[in-house]
Amino acid sequence: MTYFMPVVISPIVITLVFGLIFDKDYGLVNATLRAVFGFGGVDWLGESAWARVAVVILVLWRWTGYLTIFFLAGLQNVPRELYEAAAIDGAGPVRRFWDVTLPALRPVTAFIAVTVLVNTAQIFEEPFLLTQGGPGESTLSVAMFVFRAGFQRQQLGYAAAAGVLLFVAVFVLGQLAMRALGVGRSTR
Amino acid sequence: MGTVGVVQVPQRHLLLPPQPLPFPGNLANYRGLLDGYPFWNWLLTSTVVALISTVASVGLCSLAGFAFAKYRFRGQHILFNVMFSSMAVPFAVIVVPLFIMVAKAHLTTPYFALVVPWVAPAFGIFMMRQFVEQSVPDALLDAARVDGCTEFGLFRRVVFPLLRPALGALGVWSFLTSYNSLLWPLIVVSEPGDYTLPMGLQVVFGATGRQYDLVLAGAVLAALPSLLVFYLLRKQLLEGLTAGAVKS
Repeated sequence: MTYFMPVVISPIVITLVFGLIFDKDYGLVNATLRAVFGFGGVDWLGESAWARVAVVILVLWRWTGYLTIFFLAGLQNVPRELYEAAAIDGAGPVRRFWDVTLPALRPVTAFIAVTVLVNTAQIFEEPFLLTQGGPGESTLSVAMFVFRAGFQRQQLGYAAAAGVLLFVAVFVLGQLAMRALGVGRSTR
Repeated sequence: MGTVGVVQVPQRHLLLPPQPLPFPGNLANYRGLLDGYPFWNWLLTSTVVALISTVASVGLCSLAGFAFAKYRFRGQHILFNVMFSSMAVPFAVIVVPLFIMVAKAHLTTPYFALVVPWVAPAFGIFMMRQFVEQSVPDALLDAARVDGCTEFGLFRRVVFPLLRPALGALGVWSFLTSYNSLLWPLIVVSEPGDYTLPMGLQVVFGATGRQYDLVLAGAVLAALPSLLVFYLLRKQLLEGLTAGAVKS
Protein backbone atom coordinates (compact mmCIF):
# COMPACT_ATOMS: atom_id res chain seq x y z
CA MET A 1 0.00 0.00 0.00
CA THR A 2 2.66 2.50 1.02
CA TYR A 3 4.65 1.71 -2.13
CA PHE A 4 1.79 2.98 -4.19
CA MET A 5 0.68 6.02 -2.22
CA PRO A 6 2.95 8.49 -4.06
CA VAL A 7 1.68 7.41 -7.49
CA VAL A 8 -1.94 7.30 -6.39
CA ILE A 9 -2.14 10.76 -4.87
CA SER A 10 -2.55 13.72 -7.23
CA PRO A 11 0.68 15.46 -8.24
CA ILE A 12 -0.89 18.71 -7.09
CA VAL A 13 -1.25 17.37 -3.56
CA ILE A 14 2.29 16.03 -3.55
CA THR A 15 3.88 19.17 -4.89
CA LEU A 16 2.05 21.32 -2.36
CA VAL A 17 3.52 19.30 0.47
CA PHE A 18 6.95 19.22 -1.16
CA GLY A 19 6.75 22.97 -1.60
CA LEU A 20 6.38 23.23 2.17
CA ILE A 21 9.16 20.74 2.79
CA PHE A 22 11.59 22.61 0.53
CA ASP A 23 10.60 26.05 1.84
CA LYS A 24 13.69 28.20 2.40
CA ASP A 25 12.81 29.55 5.82
CA TYR A 26 10.34 27.11 7.31
CA GLY A 27 10.95 23.92 5.33
CA LEU A 28 11.63 20.55 6.88
CA VAL A 29 14.75 19.94 4.78
CA ASN A 30 16.46 23.15 5.78
CA ALA A 31 15.42 22.74 9.39
CA THR A 32 16.89 19.23 9.44
CA LEU A 33 20.11 20.39 7.78
CA ARG A 34 20.38 23.21 10.29
CA ALA A 35 19.79 20.95 13.25
CA VAL A 36 22.17 18.21 12.13
CA PHE A 37 24.93 19.99 10.24
CA GLY A 38 24.56 23.53 11.48
CA PHE A 39 23.85 25.10 8.10
CA GLY A 40 20.72 25.05 6.02
CA GLY A 41 20.17 28.26 4.15
CA VAL A 42 19.73 26.39 0.88
CA ASP A 43 17.22 28.24 -1.28
CA TRP A 44 15.78 25.03 -2.73
CA LEU A 45 13.21 26.52 -5.03
CA GLY A 46 14.84 29.88 -5.68
CA GLU A 47 18.22 28.83 -7.08
CA SER A 48 18.54 27.18 -10.49
CA ALA A 49 20.74 24.24 -9.54
CA TRP A 50 18.88 23.45 -6.31
CA ALA A 51 15.49 23.79 -7.96
CA ARG A 52 16.52 21.06 -10.41
CA VAL A 53 17.66 18.88 -7.54
CA ALA A 54 14.33 19.47 -5.80
CA VAL A 55 12.39 18.39 -8.89
CA VAL A 56 14.58 15.29 -9.22
CA ILE A 57 14.00 14.38 -5.57
CA LEU A 58 10.26 14.81 -6.03
CA VAL A 59 10.18 12.61 -9.14
CA LEU A 60 12.35 9.98 -7.46
CA TRP A 61 10.13 9.92 -4.39
CA ARG A 62 7.06 9.63 -6.53
CA TRP A 63 8.15 6.64 -8.63
CA THR A 64 10.57 4.63 -6.48
CA GLY A 65 7.93 2.62 -4.65
CA TYR A 66 6.02 1.84 -7.81
CA LEU A 67 9.11 0.64 -9.67
CA THR A 68 10.14 -1.44 -6.67
CA ILE A 69 7.08 -3.61 -7.32
CA PHE A 70 8.49 -4.49 -10.74
CA PHE A 71 11.83 -5.48 -9.24
CA LEU A 72 10.01 -7.48 -6.60
CA ALA A 73 8.13 -9.40 -9.27
CA GLY A 74 11.39 -9.89 -11.15
CA LEU A 75 13.17 -11.17 -8.05
CA GLN A 76 10.47 -13.75 -7.46
CA ASN A 77 11.22 -15.21 -10.88
CA VAL A 78 14.91 -15.82 -10.16
CA PRO A 79 15.35 -19.61 -9.83
CA ARG A 80 16.44 -20.68 -6.33
CA GLU A 81 18.76 -23.32 -7.72
CA LEU A 82 21.06 -20.58 -9.01
CA TYR A 83 21.62 -19.32 -5.48
CA GLU A 84 22.15 -22.81 -4.14
CA ALA A 85 24.61 -23.62 -6.89
CA ALA A 86 26.48 -20.38 -6.28
CA ALA A 87 26.57 -21.03 -2.55
CA ILE A 88 27.97 -24.53 -3.13
CA ASP A 89 30.64 -23.00 -5.35
CA GLY A 90 31.63 -20.86 -2.39
CA ALA A 91 30.15 -17.49 -3.34
CA GLY A 92 29.34 -15.17 -0.43
CA PRO A 93 26.20 -13.03 -0.22
CA VAL A 94 27.83 -10.07 -1.99
CA ARG A 95 29.19 -12.23 -4.78
CA ARG A 96 25.80 -13.93 -5.17
CA PHE A 97 24.14 -10.53 -5.52
CA TRP A 98 26.59 -9.42 -8.22
CA ASP A 99 26.77 -12.64 -10.19
CA VAL A 100 23.29 -14.11 -9.76
CA THR A 101 20.76 -11.45 -8.81
CA LEU A 102 21.91 -8.63 -11.05
CA PRO A 103 22.23 -10.66 -14.28
CA ALA A 104 18.88 -12.31 -13.60
CA LEU A 105 17.24 -8.92 -13.15
CA ARG A 106 18.70 -7.58 -16.37
CA PRO A 107 15.48 -7.69 -18.41
CA VAL A 108 13.47 -5.95 -15.68
CA THR A 109 16.18 -3.37 -15.18
CA ALA A 110 16.34 -2.63 -18.89
CA PHE A 111 12.56 -2.36 -19.11
CA ILE A 112 12.43 0.05 -16.18
CA ALA A 113 15.39 2.11 -17.36
CA VAL A 114 13.90 2.68 -20.80
CA THR A 115 10.40 3.39 -19.46
CA VAL A 116 11.67 5.84 -16.88
CA LEU A 117 13.91 7.58 -19.40
CA VAL A 118 11.09 8.02 -21.90
CA ASN A 119 8.49 9.01 -19.33
CA THR A 120 10.65 11.43 -17.43
CA ALA A 121 11.58 13.22 -20.63
CA GLN A 122 7.91 14.16 -20.81
CA ILE A 123 7.29 15.36 -17.25
CA PHE A 124 4.92 18.25 -16.85
CA GLU A 125 3.12 18.34 -13.51
CA GLU A 126 6.05 18.15 -11.15
CA PRO A 127 8.07 21.15 -12.36
CA PHE A 128 4.92 23.05 -13.41
CA LEU A 129 3.46 22.89 -9.92
CA LEU A 130 6.60 22.94 -7.80
CA THR A 131 8.60 25.67 -9.49
CA GLN A 132 6.59 26.93 -12.48
CA GLY A 133 9.70 26.16 -14.50
CA GLY A 134 11.66 28.72 -12.57
CA PRO A 135 13.73 30.31 -11.35
CA GLY A 136 14.14 31.74 -14.81
CA GLU A 137 13.72 28.76 -17.09
CA SER A 138 15.96 26.37 -15.19
CA THR A 139 13.32 23.73 -14.53
CA LEU A 140 11.30 24.25 -17.70
CA SER A 141 10.51 20.84 -19.19
CA VAL A 142 9.72 20.29 -22.85
CA ALA A 143 6.09 19.55 -22.10
CA MET A 144 5.85 22.80 -20.16
CA PHE A 145 7.50 24.63 -23.03
CA VAL A 146 4.89 23.24 -25.42
CA PHE A 147 2.09 24.24 -23.06
CA ARG A 148 3.47 27.75 -22.60
CA ALA A 149 4.11 28.38 -26.28
CA GLY A 150 0.86 26.91 -27.52
CA PHE A 151 -1.71 27.78 -24.92
CA GLN A 152 -0.41 30.79 -23.05
CA ARG A 153 1.27 32.60 -25.94
CA GLN A 154 -0.96 31.33 -28.74
CA GLN A 155 1.92 30.11 -30.93
CA LEU A 156 0.38 26.76 -31.81
CA GLY A 157 2.74 26.00 -34.70
CA TYR A 158 5.81 26.71 -32.62
CA ALA A 159 4.47 24.47 -29.88
CA ALA A 160 3.74 21.65 -32.33
CA ALA A 161 7.30 21.91 -33.68
CA ALA A 162 8.69 21.63 -30.16
CA GLY A 163 6.53 18.59 -29.61
CA VAL A 164 7.87 16.88 -32.73
CA LEU A 165 11.45 17.61 -31.68
CA LEU A 166 10.68 16.09 -28.28
CA PHE A 167 9.37 13.00 -30.01
CA VAL A 168 12.52 12.64 -32.11
CA ALA A 169 14.74 13.14 -29.07
CA VAL A 170 12.79 10.65 -26.96
CA PHE A 171 12.73 8.12 -29.78
CA VAL A 172 16.48 8.33 -30.38
CA LEU A 173 17.25 8.24 -26.65
CA GLY A 174 14.95 5.26 -26.21
CA GLN A 175 16.58 3.39 -29.08
CA LEU A 176 20.07 4.14 -27.77
CA ALA A 177 19.11 3.01 -24.29
CA MET A 178 17.58 -0.21 -25.62
CA ARG A 179 20.73 -0.85 -27.63
CA ALA A 180 22.98 -0.12 -24.65
CA LEU A 181 20.99 -2.30 -22.28
CA GLY A 182 20.63 -5.10 -24.79
CA VAL A 183 16.84 -5.25 -24.86
CA GLY A 184 15.74 -7.95 -27.27
CA ARG A 185 19.09 -9.70 -27.24
CA SER A 186 19.22 -12.87 -25.22
CA THR A 187 20.90 -12.34 -21.88
CA ARG A 188 24.06 -14.25 -21.22
CA MET B 1 -1.03 15.44 5.97
CA GLY B 2 -4.37 15.71 7.74
CA THR B 3 -2.67 17.51 10.56
CA VAL B 4 -1.11 19.96 8.15
CA GLY B 5 -4.48 20.71 6.65
CA VAL B 6 -6.22 21.28 9.94
CA VAL B 7 -3.78 23.74 11.39
CA GLN B 8 -4.44 27.33 10.56
CA VAL B 9 -1.44 28.33 8.50
CA PRO B 10 -1.31 31.69 6.93
CA GLN B 11 2.42 31.60 6.32
CA ARG B 12 3.32 34.15 8.95
CA HIS B 13 1.94 31.76 11.54
CA LEU B 14 4.18 28.85 10.57
CA LEU B 15 5.92 27.90 13.75
CA LEU B 16 9.57 27.36 14.49
CA PRO B 17 10.28 24.79 15.75
CA PRO B 18 7.47 23.06 13.81
CA GLN B 19 4.80 21.28 15.83
CA PRO B 20 3.98 17.72 14.79
CA LEU B 21 0.36 18.14 15.84
CA PRO B 22 -1.62 21.34 15.47
CA PHE B 23 -2.95 22.74 18.71
CA PRO B 24 -5.58 23.92 18.97
CA GLY B 25 -6.80 22.42 15.67
CA ASN B 26 -9.76 23.87 13.85
CA LEU B 27 -11.53 23.51 10.53
CA ALA B 28 -11.52 27.16 9.51
CA ASN B 29 -9.52 26.49 6.34
CA TYR B 30 -11.95 23.85 5.14
CA ARG B 31 -14.77 26.32 5.67
CA GLY B 32 -12.83 29.06 3.88
CA LEU B 33 -12.17 26.82 0.89
CA LEU B 34 -15.70 25.44 0.63
CA ASP B 35 -17.31 28.86 1.03
CA GLY B 36 -14.96 30.81 -1.20
CA TYR B 37 -14.65 28.47 -4.18
CA PRO B 38 -16.95 26.06 -6.08
CA PHE B 39 -14.98 23.19 -4.57
CA TRP B 40 -17.82 20.65 -4.67
CA ASN B 41 -18.32 21.41 -8.38
CA TRP B 42 -14.67 20.65 -9.02
CA LEU B 43 -14.80 17.45 -7.02
CA LEU B 44 -17.96 16.40 -8.84
CA THR B 45 -16.53 17.18 -12.29
CA SER B 46 -13.32 15.29 -11.56
CA THR B 47 -15.04 12.27 -10.08
CA VAL B 48 -17.76 12.00 -12.73
CA VAL B 49 -15.29 12.47 -15.58
CA ALA B 50 -12.98 9.86 -14.07
CA LEU B 51 -15.82 7.39 -13.53
CA ILE B 52 -17.23 7.77 -17.05
CA SER B 53 -13.85 7.40 -18.70
CA THR B 54 -13.04 4.41 -16.51
CA VAL B 55 -16.21 2.55 -17.43
CA ALA B 56 -15.90 3.47 -21.11
CA SER B 57 -12.22 2.62 -21.39
CA VAL B 58 -12.54 -0.69 -19.56
CA GLY B 59 -15.38 -1.71 -21.88
CA LEU B 60 -13.76 -0.52 -25.12
CA CYS B 61 -10.27 -1.74 -24.30
CA SER B 62 -11.43 -5.22 -23.40
CA LEU B 63 -13.53 -5.43 -26.57
CA ALA B 64 -10.61 -4.27 -28.73
CA GLY B 65 -8.16 -6.47 -26.89
CA PHE B 66 -10.44 -9.48 -27.37
CA ALA B 67 -10.68 -8.75 -31.10
CA PHE B 68 -6.93 -8.37 -31.50
CA ALA B 69 -6.25 -11.55 -29.56
CA LYS B 70 -8.86 -13.94 -30.90
CA TYR B 71 -10.02 -12.85 -34.35
CA ARG B 72 -8.23 -12.87 -37.68
CA PHE B 73 -9.33 -10.05 -39.93
CA ARG B 74 -7.99 -7.95 -42.78
CA GLY B 75 -5.68 -5.12 -41.74
CA GLN B 76 -5.22 -6.62 -38.31
CA HIS B 77 -1.45 -6.30 -38.25
CA ILE B 78 -1.45 -2.75 -39.56
CA LEU B 79 -4.11 -1.70 -37.08
CA PHE B 80 -2.29 -3.34 -34.23
CA ASN B 81 1.02 -1.75 -35.17
CA VAL B 82 -0.54 1.69 -35.47
CA MET B 83 -2.17 1.25 -32.08
CA PHE B 84 0.99 -0.12 -30.51
CA SER B 85 3.33 2.55 -31.81
CA SER B 86 0.98 5.29 -30.63
CA MET B 87 2.12 4.36 -27.13
CA ALA B 88 5.57 5.68 -27.97
CA VAL B 89 4.27 9.10 -28.98
CA PRO B 90 4.60 11.63 -26.15
CA PHE B 91 1.49 13.59 -25.20
CA ALA B 92 3.35 16.84 -25.94
CA VAL B 93 3.40 15.85 -29.62
CA ILE B 94 -0.31 15.30 -30.01
CA VAL B 95 -1.54 17.98 -27.66
CA VAL B 96 -1.59 20.77 -30.25
CA PRO B 97 -3.26 18.81 -33.09
CA LEU B 98 -5.71 17.26 -30.62
CA PHE B 99 -6.67 20.65 -29.28
CA ILE B 100 -7.17 22.04 -32.79
CA MET B 101 -9.34 19.06 -33.71
CA VAL B 102 -11.50 19.44 -30.63
CA ALA B 103 -11.76 23.21 -31.04
CA LYS B 104 -12.56 23.11 -34.77
CA ALA B 105 -15.29 20.57 -34.12
CA HIS B 106 -16.73 22.87 -31.40
CA LEU B 107 -16.57 20.05 -28.91
CA THR B 108 -14.87 21.95 -26.11
CA THR B 109 -17.71 21.32 -23.67
CA PRO B 110 -15.86 20.05 -20.61
CA TYR B 111 -17.46 16.66 -20.25
CA PHE B 112 -16.94 15.77 -23.90
CA ALA B 113 -13.40 17.10 -24.19
CA LEU B 114 -12.26 15.57 -20.91
CA VAL B 115 -13.71 12.13 -21.56
CA VAL B 116 -13.83 11.26 -25.24
CA PRO B 117 -10.15 11.58 -26.25
CA TRP B 118 -9.21 9.15 -23.44
CA VAL B 119 -11.73 6.33 -23.75
CA ALA B 120 -9.52 3.93 -25.71
CA PRO B 121 -5.92 4.24 -24.52
CA ALA B 122 -3.45 2.10 -26.47
CA PHE B 123 -1.91 0.95 -23.20
CA GLY B 124 -5.25 -0.49 -22.14
CA ILE B 125 -5.90 -2.23 -25.44
CA PHE B 126 -2.46 -3.78 -25.43
CA MET B 127 -2.79 -4.90 -21.84
CA MET B 128 -6.20 -6.47 -22.52
CA ARG B 129 -4.90 -8.26 -25.59
CA GLN B 130 -2.09 -9.79 -23.55
CA PHE B 131 -4.51 -10.91 -20.87
CA VAL B 132 -6.98 -12.42 -23.32
CA GLU B 133 -4.20 -14.38 -25.00
CA GLN B 134 -2.93 -15.56 -21.65
CA SER B 135 -6.14 -16.47 -19.91
CA VAL B 136 -8.79 -17.33 -22.51
CA PRO B 137 -8.20 -20.70 -24.20
CA ASP B 138 -9.48 -21.07 -27.78
CA ALA B 139 -11.12 -24.38 -26.87
CA LEU B 140 -13.39 -22.60 -24.41
CA LEU B 141 -14.54 -20.16 -27.09
CA ASP B 142 -15.19 -22.97 -29.56
CA ALA B 143 -17.17 -24.88 -26.95
CA ALA B 144 -19.35 -21.86 -26.30
CA ARG B 145 -19.86 -21.40 -30.07
CA VAL B 146 -20.99 -25.00 -30.40
CA ASP B 147 -23.47 -24.35 -27.60
CA GLY B 148 -24.99 -21.60 -29.74
CA CYS B 149 -23.46 -18.55 -28.13
CA THR B 150 -23.37 -15.41 -30.31
CA GLU B 151 -20.04 -13.65 -30.86
CA PHE B 152 -20.98 -10.80 -28.54
CA GLY B 153 -22.32 -13.34 -26.08
CA LEU B 154 -18.88 -14.93 -26.14
CA PHE B 155 -17.39 -11.68 -25.00
CA ARG B 156 -20.02 -11.00 -22.37
CA ARG B 157 -20.38 -14.48 -20.89
CA VAL B 158 -16.95 -16.06 -21.38
CA VAL B 159 -14.23 -13.48 -21.88
CA PHE B 160 -15.43 -10.71 -19.57
CA PRO B 161 -15.67 -12.89 -16.44
CA LEU B 162 -12.25 -14.42 -17.12
CA LEU B 163 -10.70 -10.98 -17.45
CA ARG B 164 -11.90 -9.67 -14.11
CA PRO B 165 -8.52 -9.15 -12.40
CA ALA B 166 -7.14 -7.39 -15.46
CA LEU B 167 -10.24 -5.22 -15.72
CA GLY B 168 -9.77 -4.13 -12.12
CA ALA B 169 -6.18 -3.15 -12.81
CA LEU B 170 -7.09 -1.22 -15.92
CA GLY B 171 -9.98 0.41 -14.09
CA VAL B 172 -7.81 1.71 -11.27
CA TRP B 173 -5.20 2.86 -13.74
CA SER B 174 -7.64 4.79 -15.88
CA PHE B 175 -9.51 6.28 -12.93
CA LEU B 176 -6.28 7.59 -11.43
CA THR B 177 -4.93 8.84 -14.75
CA SER B 178 -8.09 10.74 -15.44
CA TYR B 179 -8.60 12.01 -11.89
CA ASN B 180 -5.02 13.26 -11.57
CA SER B 181 -4.55 14.70 -15.04
CA LEU B 182 -3.72 18.36 -15.19
CA LEU B 183 -2.27 19.37 -18.55
CA TRP B 184 -5.24 18.53 -20.76
CA PRO B 185 -7.89 20.07 -18.45
CA LEU B 186 -5.76 23.22 -18.27
CA ILE B 187 -5.98 23.43 -22.05
CA VAL B 188 -9.64 22.66 -22.74
CA VAL B 189 -11.47 23.98 -19.68
CA SER B 190 -11.85 27.70 -19.21
CA GLU B 191 -14.90 28.30 -16.97
CA PRO B 192 -14.01 28.29 -13.24
CA GLY B 193 -17.22 26.37 -12.53
CA ASP B 194 -16.07 23.52 -14.79
CA TYR B 195 -12.55 23.15 -13.40
CA THR B 196 -11.33 19.72 -12.43
CA LEU B 197 -10.01 19.32 -8.93
CA PRO B 198 -6.24 19.47 -9.58
CA MET B 199 -6.81 22.48 -11.78
CA GLY B 200 -8.98 24.22 -9.20
CA LEU B 201 -6.43 23.69 -6.45
CA GLN B 202 -3.69 25.01 -8.68
CA VAL B 203 -5.74 28.13 -9.39
CA VAL B 204 -6.53 28.67 -5.70
CA PHE B 205 -2.84 28.32 -4.90
CA GLY B 206 -1.96 30.92 -7.51
CA ALA B 207 -4.81 33.26 -6.58
CA THR B 208 -3.96 33.32 -2.88
CA GLY B 209 -0.34 34.28 -3.54
CA ARG B 210 1.01 30.78 -2.92
CA GLN B 211 -0.48 30.62 0.57
CA TYR B 212 -0.83 27.13 1.90
CA ASP B 213 -3.78 27.49 4.25
CA LEU B 214 -6.69 26.87 1.87
CA VAL B 215 -5.05 24.57 -0.67
CA LEU B 216 -3.83 22.10 1.92
CA ALA B 217 -7.38 21.64 3.14
CA GLY B 218 -8.34 21.05 -0.50
CA ALA B 219 -5.43 18.67 -0.97
CA VAL B 220 -6.65 16.46 1.84
CA LEU B 221 -10.13 16.31 0.35
CA ALA B 222 -8.75 15.75 -3.17
CA ALA B 223 -6.65 12.79 -2.05
CA LEU B 224 -9.64 10.96 -0.58
CA PRO B 225 -11.36 9.62 -3.76
CA SER B 226 -8.14 8.35 -5.32
CA LEU B 227 -7.05 6.67 -2.10
CA LEU B 228 -10.50 5.11 -1.77
CA VAL B 229 -10.49 3.71 -5.31
CA PHE B 230 -6.98 2.44 -4.87
CA TYR B 231 -7.76 0.87 -1.50
CA LEU B 232 -10.79 -0.97 -2.88
CA LEU B 233 -8.99 -2.35 -5.92
CA ARG B 234 -5.37 -2.56 -4.81
CA LYS B 235 -5.04 -6.33 -5.26
CA GLN B 236 -6.07 -6.25 -8.90
CA LEU B 237 -3.80 -3.31 -9.61
CA LEU B 238 -0.76 -5.03 -8.14
CA GLU B 239 -1.32 -8.30 -9.97
CA GLY B 240 -2.47 -6.78 -13.24
CA LEU B 241 0.20 -4.16 -13.78
CA THR B 242 3.17 -6.37 -13.09
CA ALA B 243 1.95 -9.56 -14.74
CA GLY B 244 2.05 -8.23 -18.31
CA ALA B 245 5.28 -6.32 -18.00
CA VAL B 246 7.63 -8.81 -16.43
CA LYS B 247 6.84 -11.80 -18.56
CA SER B 248 7.64 -10.10 -21.85
